[in-house]
Amino acid sequence: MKYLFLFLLLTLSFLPEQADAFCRTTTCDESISCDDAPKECCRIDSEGCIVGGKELYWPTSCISFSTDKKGSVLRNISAEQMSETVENALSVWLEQVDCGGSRPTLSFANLGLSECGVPTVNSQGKYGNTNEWLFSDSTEQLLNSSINNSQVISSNTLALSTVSFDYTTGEIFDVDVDFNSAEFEFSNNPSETSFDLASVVAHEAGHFLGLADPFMPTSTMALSAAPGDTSKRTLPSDDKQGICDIYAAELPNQTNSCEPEGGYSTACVEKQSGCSLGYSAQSSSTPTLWFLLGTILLMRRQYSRYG
Amino acid sequence: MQNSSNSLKGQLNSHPFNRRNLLSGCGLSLCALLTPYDAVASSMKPLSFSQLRRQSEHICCAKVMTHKSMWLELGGRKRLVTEHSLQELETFKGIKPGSANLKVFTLGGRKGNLAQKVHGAAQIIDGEEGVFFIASATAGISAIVGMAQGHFPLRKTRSLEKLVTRDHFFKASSAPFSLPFVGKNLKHLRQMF
Repeated sequence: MKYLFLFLLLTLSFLPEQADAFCRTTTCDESISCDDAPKECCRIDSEGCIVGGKELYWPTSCISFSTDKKGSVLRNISAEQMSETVENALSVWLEQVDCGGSRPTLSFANLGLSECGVPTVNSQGKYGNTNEWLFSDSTEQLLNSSINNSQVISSNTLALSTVSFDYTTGEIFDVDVDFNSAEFEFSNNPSETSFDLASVVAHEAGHFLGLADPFMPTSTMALSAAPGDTSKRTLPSDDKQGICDIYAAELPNQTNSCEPEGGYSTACVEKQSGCSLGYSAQSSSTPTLWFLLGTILLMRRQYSRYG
Repeated sequence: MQNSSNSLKGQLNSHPFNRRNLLSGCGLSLCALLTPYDAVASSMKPLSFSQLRRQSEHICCAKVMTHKSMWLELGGRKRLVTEHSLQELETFKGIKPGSANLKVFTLGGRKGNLAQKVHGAAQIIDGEEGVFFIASATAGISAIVGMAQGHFPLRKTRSLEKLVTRDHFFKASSAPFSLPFVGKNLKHLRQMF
């Protein structure tokens, strides 16, 4: 009996702690050294989270999202299906989590389908924004990105969340999420070769709300995902704790508007000097970020122009 | 008496919680618990060493000198990117681009109070040395293969030996990617080319 007790004790002592098994995205600057700027640099804490600077949060009590009206032609996923999947995921994060007797203080609004198809952020409060979810399934552009006729180089990533925020306060004001449908198959009925769309959306929704990738492999926010795996659709307690940690109480400067920063805009805006959106509504090719290399030519051009 | 003692031992040995079974169980459980988490795949498609090498036009050990964020239009969208200037120390693949520093771009950055973060981007820190798997270095401007997957900071041990580690992003996340040269010194990596 005493061996059984010892066995249980040893097992329990090696189990990971459940208390803080979530990580928040912070303002820490990845490129600066902690010797130079200890308050702003990124460090790894004892829980395995990247910390430093301020923790990110939405400074509103309501956030909105839009879905690119094209959906994914390549993967046969309509914009409406994507819109519903995102809505379901945000509902799980924000409406089905109990933060000690209350719900998170953040609600969401689905603003429908967007026209532009280019996730971007207009920071000047002049043009309007959308928190856009979209697919990039342009194989044409992928193929064109080869250099010296060598193989295509991509980010090898299922989806990318780009979070724009105020560096001084940690207030999020725009998040755009790109799904790499050019390289990966997504489905709400996943097989051995396709990834569960709802699970990947649930993971990216965590980034959308201000969470980062933790070490815990069972978390919805964990980096790991396998084809056919639908387990990330439901949130384990760590993730629930994470969302409650951000939104259990009212936050500083919290406003009631659901509108994105600078107002909501479904269409591409006119060109701005210097940092314009070079998207044409007639263009058939979907923007592709999945391979940085494929854009190096663009980079070079811009680099030489703006130095 | 002897018989009854043997019979008791026999009973104990056949019991599921006998000493030997429990100690074996403890050992196996400890091994399982101490083994790093692994996964079949990742939301980042894991790249093997041969894939990293194949996709790289240039592989080098370099010291990060400076960084600069800027707005760029990529694939039709406006983005903040960071250009890191690298001083090449050793070349494993490709040709060293003369005396000029290498320029490597990562997604995300900061311009004034506005900042952008892209989860999965390499975390390249000024002053750090590291091994970089670079997609193209032909014009001195390039990107890292597989975002954080193609960046390996060097960590100095007490004996001042430099060990190859994973990008900080992977240290903070589950790391289902095993590579043969991680945790080893540069000499080991050199032998792989």
